[in-house]
Amino acid sequence: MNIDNTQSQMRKGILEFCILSIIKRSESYPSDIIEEMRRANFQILEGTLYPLLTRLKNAEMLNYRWVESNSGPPRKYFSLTEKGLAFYAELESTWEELTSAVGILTQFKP
Amino acid sequence: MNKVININFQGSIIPIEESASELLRNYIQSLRQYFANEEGRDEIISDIESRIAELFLQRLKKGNTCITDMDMKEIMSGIGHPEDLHAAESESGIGSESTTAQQKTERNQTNSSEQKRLYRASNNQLVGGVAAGLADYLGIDVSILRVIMIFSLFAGFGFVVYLVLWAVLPEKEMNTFDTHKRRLFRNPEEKKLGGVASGLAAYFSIDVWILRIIFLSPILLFFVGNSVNSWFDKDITDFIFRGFGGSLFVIYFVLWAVLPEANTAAEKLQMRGEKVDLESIKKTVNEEMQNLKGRAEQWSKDAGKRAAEKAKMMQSDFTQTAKNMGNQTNTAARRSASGVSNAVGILARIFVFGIIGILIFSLLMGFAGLTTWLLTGHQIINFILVDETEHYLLWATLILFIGVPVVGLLMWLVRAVRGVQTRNKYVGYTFTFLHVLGWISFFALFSFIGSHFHSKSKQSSVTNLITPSGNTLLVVVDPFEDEDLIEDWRSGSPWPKMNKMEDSIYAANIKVKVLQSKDSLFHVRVVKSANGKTFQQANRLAEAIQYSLFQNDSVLHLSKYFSLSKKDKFHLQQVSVVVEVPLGAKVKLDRTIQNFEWHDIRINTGNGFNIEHYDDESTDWEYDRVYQMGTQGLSSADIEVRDKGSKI
Repeated sequence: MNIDNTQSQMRKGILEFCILSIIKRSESYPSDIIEEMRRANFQILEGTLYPLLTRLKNAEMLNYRWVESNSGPPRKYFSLTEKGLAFYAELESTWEELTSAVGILTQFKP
Repeated sequence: MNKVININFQGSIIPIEESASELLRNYIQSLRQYFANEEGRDEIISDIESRIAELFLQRLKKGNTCITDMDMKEIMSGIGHPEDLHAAESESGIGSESTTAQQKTERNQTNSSEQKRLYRASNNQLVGGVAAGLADYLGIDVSILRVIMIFSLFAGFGFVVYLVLWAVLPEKEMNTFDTHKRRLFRNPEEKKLGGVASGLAAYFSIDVWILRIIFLSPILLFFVGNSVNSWFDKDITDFIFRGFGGSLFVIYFVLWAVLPEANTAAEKLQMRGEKVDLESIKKTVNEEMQNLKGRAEQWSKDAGKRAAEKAKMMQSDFTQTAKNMGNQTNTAARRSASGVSNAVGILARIFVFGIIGILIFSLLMGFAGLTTWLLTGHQIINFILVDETEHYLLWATLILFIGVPVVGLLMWLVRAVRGVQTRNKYVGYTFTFLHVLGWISFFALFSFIGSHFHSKSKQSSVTNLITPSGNTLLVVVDPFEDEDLIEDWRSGSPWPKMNKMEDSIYAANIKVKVLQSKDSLFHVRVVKSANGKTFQQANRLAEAIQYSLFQNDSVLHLSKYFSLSKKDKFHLQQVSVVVEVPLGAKVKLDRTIQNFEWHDIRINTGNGFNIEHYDDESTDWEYDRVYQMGTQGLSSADIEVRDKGSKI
């Protein structure tokens, strides 16, 4: 068993969930998302975030609007759509089930 | 000091070092290739570009005078290089697709949600990008396809296939940033002539001497062949040397011309089919440096030194090499595509559309011609078709089976030329439906006509002949007295002719056979045969055949045609004239017998027709020769011409 592989499998499942939850809290610009994830010690490359956002947007989970920026080109601010909210709710309940199950199992003492 | 230039990037003017701008361009290019199959590629790229622009401006605001290589490298590693993204993507599993190792490889070639399709490569083309597209589709090295194509060009059809594919296939940017596939290169380190043999050896993972021997075999064969010539037929050695050996030379030189040299570490890895990533490049570079001794046997000292230098250079900057690898292969392909091939491309495209245009035009003309021919000279059709139903079926077949596709093609061409995109799908449905009806009427007509020939009847009558003087019978076919009175429906064909009064039909579907007579007299047997739906009909039709012949001393005169009534239609009426020659008597068949136009139609149930013009048993003799009947059949009685080999 490769520990890296197992860890990445774990991260993989929750990345989307994390990104959606950041956007759900407030309309966000990709750099904000990266920054917030970095603060939470969940490092990802910007280059992986852009395609993921585009896919979620194409799947109608996300919307965006252009916001003028004084430090460069206009920025895309992403927000959740109705569909995205529903999707998020499902992910959230799955996550809660999982954490409670994992919590019980890992704390289980015979 | 590096030269600083101003570039316009995402709407802002950015002062940047020239080398950094080169890095930027290569980076964007490599991302473009990495995301080549991603649905929202352009959007992703433009998002990333905006982000880069923003980072540039932030740096400039902080007081930097320009963007340096250092800045650029920082930015690139922040956003991620294609290799990092590839690793990250499989690690953190971006997106909803599950990323098993296998799917990762597939993703490199096609978008997993999209079905694999054949495209032309827009970014890796020597002429039209067909070879690269096919290679991508089949998952093999483009060089192999180029070689095959060059050979098929010699065969002739390859040119047409290439042009058609060029015209038909849509263009798409291919992912040349492919780290998995093995590629064919020439190996500059181990070359005797062009490095082709060692490159091939690396590709197939076999020892290079095997390939060298194969390539040298024509020369070996030449010497061996010369010394063995005394044992073997010269043709065989000639064949081996010219056919096999010659093509090996051609193959070698074609490969020399087509294959790129493996110059960078990444290319050398691809040549051996090892996966190209940072680790393996590092490994190769280290290997090259440390194992020089071990490799010295294979490499000349010089090449080794060169490799070591290269390795050193690479190690200092090997990350960049790896990152730009996608571009390097790409630009290598571009480099060889010169302006000349662009011009050739345009010419070829005009040529292809010209050919398609001519093809459709001639189809249309053919259709029009066939229709007018049937409308004006339709006796032949009346002669084959027996009732109204069959006539209707014929027209349905003509219009729906042939006409509809022709009109469809014409519409398509007009659309293609005018660039009209909109398309009403009901037009397509209607055309398909009508065409299916056409198929149905085609098969119905076919089986109706086939049923005319269901049964066969033969009627034979024997006439005794007077023994000719000299016991030799000459068989001739008389010319038809009123040849002017009859119309030829299609000259030189077995089709019957019709007289101008249009009441009777003349057919030359006659053959002559010579058999041994059972008694001591000459006989002539006339076998009339016809087909029909029923045996009774066939019988009646066979009886209705009018055929005349007469004897004038030693000459048997046959008529050129037999006649039938027009209402009897075409039911494969045939006449077989069997001349029975007694033992010891002689016979001579005159050249005029060639005027007969024998044909036969064999009907295989359900499989259609098979028209034969010659009967198997009929030609064991030649014209204008005297033959004598013996117990074993005819034998030549001509003393002057004995040589059987001198056929006319």
